[in-house]
Amino acid sequence: MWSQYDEDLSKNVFFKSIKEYNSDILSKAATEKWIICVPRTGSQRNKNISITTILDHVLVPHSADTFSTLSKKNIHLKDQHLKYDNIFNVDVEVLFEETHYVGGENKYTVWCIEKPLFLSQNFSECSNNQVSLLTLQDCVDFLFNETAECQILESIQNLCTTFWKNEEKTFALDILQSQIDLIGNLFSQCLQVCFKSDGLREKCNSDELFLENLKLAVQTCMQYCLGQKLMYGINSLHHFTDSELNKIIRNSLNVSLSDLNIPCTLENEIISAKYELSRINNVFTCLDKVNCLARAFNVFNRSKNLQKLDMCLTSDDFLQIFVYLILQCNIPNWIANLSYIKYFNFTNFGNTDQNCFLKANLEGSIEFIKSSAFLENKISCMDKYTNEDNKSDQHSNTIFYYLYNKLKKAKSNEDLCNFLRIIFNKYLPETDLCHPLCSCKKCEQILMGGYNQKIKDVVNEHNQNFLIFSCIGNNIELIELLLSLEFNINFKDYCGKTALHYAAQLGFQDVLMLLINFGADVNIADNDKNTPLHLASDRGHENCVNALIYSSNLVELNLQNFSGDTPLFLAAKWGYINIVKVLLEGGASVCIKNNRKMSVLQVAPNYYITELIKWYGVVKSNKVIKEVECLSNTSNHSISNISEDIAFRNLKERGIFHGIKPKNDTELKSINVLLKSIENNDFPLACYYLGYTNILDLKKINLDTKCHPLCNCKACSAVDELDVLDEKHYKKKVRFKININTVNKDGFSALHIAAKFGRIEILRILLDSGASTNLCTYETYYTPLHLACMFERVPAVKELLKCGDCNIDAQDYKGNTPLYYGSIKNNNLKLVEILIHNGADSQKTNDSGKSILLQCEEKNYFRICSILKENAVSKSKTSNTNESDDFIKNKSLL
Amino acid sequence: MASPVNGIKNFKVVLLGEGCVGKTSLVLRYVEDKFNNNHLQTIQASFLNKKINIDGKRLNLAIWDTAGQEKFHALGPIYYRSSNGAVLVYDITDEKSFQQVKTWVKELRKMLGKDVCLIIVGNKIDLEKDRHVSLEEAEDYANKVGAVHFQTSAKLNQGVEDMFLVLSKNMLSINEQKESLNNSLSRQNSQRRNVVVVDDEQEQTAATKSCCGSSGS
Repeated sequence: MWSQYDEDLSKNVFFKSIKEYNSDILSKAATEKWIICVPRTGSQRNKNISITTILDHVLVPHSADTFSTLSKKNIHLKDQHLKYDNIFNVDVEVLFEETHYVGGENKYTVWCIEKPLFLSQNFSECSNNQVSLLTLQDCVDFLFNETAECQILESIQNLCTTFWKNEEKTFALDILQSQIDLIGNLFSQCLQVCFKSDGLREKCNSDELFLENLKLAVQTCMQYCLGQKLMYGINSLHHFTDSELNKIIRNSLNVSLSDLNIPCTLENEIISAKYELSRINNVFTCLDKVNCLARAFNVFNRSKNLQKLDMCLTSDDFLQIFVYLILQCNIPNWIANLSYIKYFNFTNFGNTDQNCFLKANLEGSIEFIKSSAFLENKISCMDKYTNEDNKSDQHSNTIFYYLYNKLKKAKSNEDLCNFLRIIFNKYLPETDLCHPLCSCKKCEQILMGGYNQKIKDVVNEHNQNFLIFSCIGNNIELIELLLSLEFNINFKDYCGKTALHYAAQLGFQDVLMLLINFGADVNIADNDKNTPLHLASDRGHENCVNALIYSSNLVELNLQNFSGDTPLFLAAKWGYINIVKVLLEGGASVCIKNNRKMSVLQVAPNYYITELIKWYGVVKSNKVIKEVECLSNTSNHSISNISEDIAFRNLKERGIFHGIKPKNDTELKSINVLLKSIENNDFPLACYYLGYTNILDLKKINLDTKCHPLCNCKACSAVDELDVLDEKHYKKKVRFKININTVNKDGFSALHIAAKFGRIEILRILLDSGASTNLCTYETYYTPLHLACMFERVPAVKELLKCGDCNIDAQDYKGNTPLYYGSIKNNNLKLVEILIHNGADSQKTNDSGKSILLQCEEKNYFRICSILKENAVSKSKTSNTNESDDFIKNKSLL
Repeated sequence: MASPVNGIKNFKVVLLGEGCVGKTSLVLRYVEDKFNNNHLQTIQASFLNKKINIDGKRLNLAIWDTAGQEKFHALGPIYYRSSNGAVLVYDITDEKSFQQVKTWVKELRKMLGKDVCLIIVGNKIDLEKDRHVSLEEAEDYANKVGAVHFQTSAKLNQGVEDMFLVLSKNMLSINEQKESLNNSLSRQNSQRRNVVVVDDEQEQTAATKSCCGSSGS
């Protein structure tokens, strides 16, 4: 590649003098293919150029890299440098080549060279007026030198600080165009600061290149001052597309060079390029980011190794190389980076040809990864193993793959046994049978024992047994068969991964659930100390994360892998917002720091994830941590139990009951899952957590409400029979795993949630099982009735009021009763009727000091008012005068 | 994309065509002509620069080779957008590659309009005996779509330089027409500011607000 230097040769004194006085040389050069060397402007002091000097600069080519000048000196070319070996040791760089076409077919070549070839004594290092700014440091120096002090740099910094003061909160939520406009405006403000200086303004007017440089320097310094927050804003804008891309990237880690048709000889270059490219997030400016790309590109461009191999990389190669690099670089925000480079550059610097090409190449690679073409490629390399029929011959583990392909076809246990019988006789002939197809008892036993043992021992080159391999192949039927043969479910391969790891990593939810059901260890760590939850979070398999968390309450959310990352770290880093949410809801800690002493908040790449973590983590989890600490204290010291009792009694005196706190961590977790399952209306799951393990129990509870109490129809009589038969059994069974009045960290019991979401079946079960109806939540003091009224769950309200001990006039933290929510908040006539009918007090005042009736009148809820008034009249007959005095007082206050 | 610095005009030229038609060889032959094949100065051919001077006018050709494999076809627009010239290469021994050129022509005319200079190049004329695309057919087609047709052999260095020279001249003349038009326009409305047009294609306004599940307020 030629250097960046460029000049207009028609203004070059040396070239001009050739053109004017020695044009015969030029026409001769066209026919003889001579090359004219022109020292660049400024390197030539002598105004009068002699004919000998000119002759010294015309090269007559002899071969590709040897020349002689017209003055008969021998020159050779090496690495773009012209060399002449004598006492002077001439070594001059060729800056660029220009082919001149003069009318019709005539052409000659001109090389612009760094300095005159043979004038060493006269030569003085010229000052280059064309400064090219290549790094951030260059830009800072440029601004510093041009103003001779830090003034401009300081004012740029001030502008940036005020910019963030005004924009920080909203910038991340803006659309692309307004982000560009904001930064563009800031850029022109910064430029205006520069133009206040007269010196700079004049220079800019006279020198176009200087203006370009100034713009670049200002932009770069500005972007540096804006720092990480700018990238953070752009990340937030692209968080969705980036997380989608990341999911593809993380699931393509096993793509190898050969899968992408990249020659293995490039391995070293790829490693260096990867190193360069992975620094793209360590720099904040467009200039540096593009330089990062350029450095990665130049690794290939300047590689001596490739020169030796005489390889020429084409666009196809570069696309695939960059695809590979993107997959391997561990960068979570490619799309944001691309958008930054593309849209947040306001100068001409990015428009050089190479930079444009690099940007296009990056964009092309990203698009390719996103495209389905890439996925097909990936799938085909997954299939490589499972369709191993032909290829397996080369492997030492022929038997494994052969058998696996046979096993795949097995449909039933019987099938499997027959397969095993034939196969093992063929491939593992050590078994001593009477004859291969003998079915005498002895042989049968040998076979069953033998097969089972043998088939469990067969592994492939990764030490994966059939169970693990069928998980990789997502072959759920085979897994079931194998598990029935009592395979070791926690068997590890050479990476330390179990079947569950692979199911989680590959996103096979069904397989995962099956394995958990069969009792796979959910917290088992592989060689990198990754648990299945780590892998599912890392690969963005939301379904598997959900399955892991909900289907097993043994899952540890806060285990750290070798880098100290918890699953939450991985999900946050790659921007999987839903997984982050699920993990946080499950109670993942935000206080853990990884090995680089980063908290998950520092890892969060964008606004949305930060907010989630702040919301769940900092607000809620602090509470959880306090509670857990408190819990661990109570379990250690018996004294605190007593103090709790005292507190409980105090509350009782005030008429406020809270639920029972979970005794330990696992209870806290299981109450959380229970509440979640009720919320999701997952009836079977909720029952499971409540301790109804038998479906029969469920039916019973549901059938308790028979057609009518004395009905004799078939179904009802069946119920009666069951009742009699199972009464004892049933009572034994309905024992809750956890106390039914256990509450979560906010004081919500199962009944609260069931009432809030109107889960009527569950509500009945809870009430029948003796759930307390008057429990209050911790800070808000809501009873289940409050919540049911708040969310207008009429059937739930009815059901709750059927319980005799339900306090209909319970007051929450604002003093509001359920009636308040039914009338004022929701204007729900039916609710009000039910409540009043059950004796709700319309005169109760809340913290504002106004009664419900009064507030209804203010809101003009006439129909409710009339109901309330009717009720009030009937009540006032019995009530004492004080109350009506209060009522009048209230009215007069208005 | 003409930039005024040092009076040099930048032109972007993109090479399109099926894989194995010799795009890379063409561009290497043109840019590296001076050196024989076993002395390649550059080890990548995806993007090359060539400065030329036609009767005193300076041009910088940025020649972009594109990925030829079928699976990369969809990425084409990323590479050819805002190019001034396109060299569409087919292999004269391969009828399919000529059909591919036709689809590229349609696509380019649709995406880049009339301002792009199209050159259709039949490469590998050293393999004349295996010719499957007739010269008349190709020339007729080129005339029909307003392109120039050339026959080259990168191997024997036939027609390569002429082809690029004609392309450069065509691009130059289109550029000059445009400039004179622009000048007359800008004289009419004296106050014209540079407008940066940015297309925000990948806009994602996914407002994923956290909703809280268990708190009852």
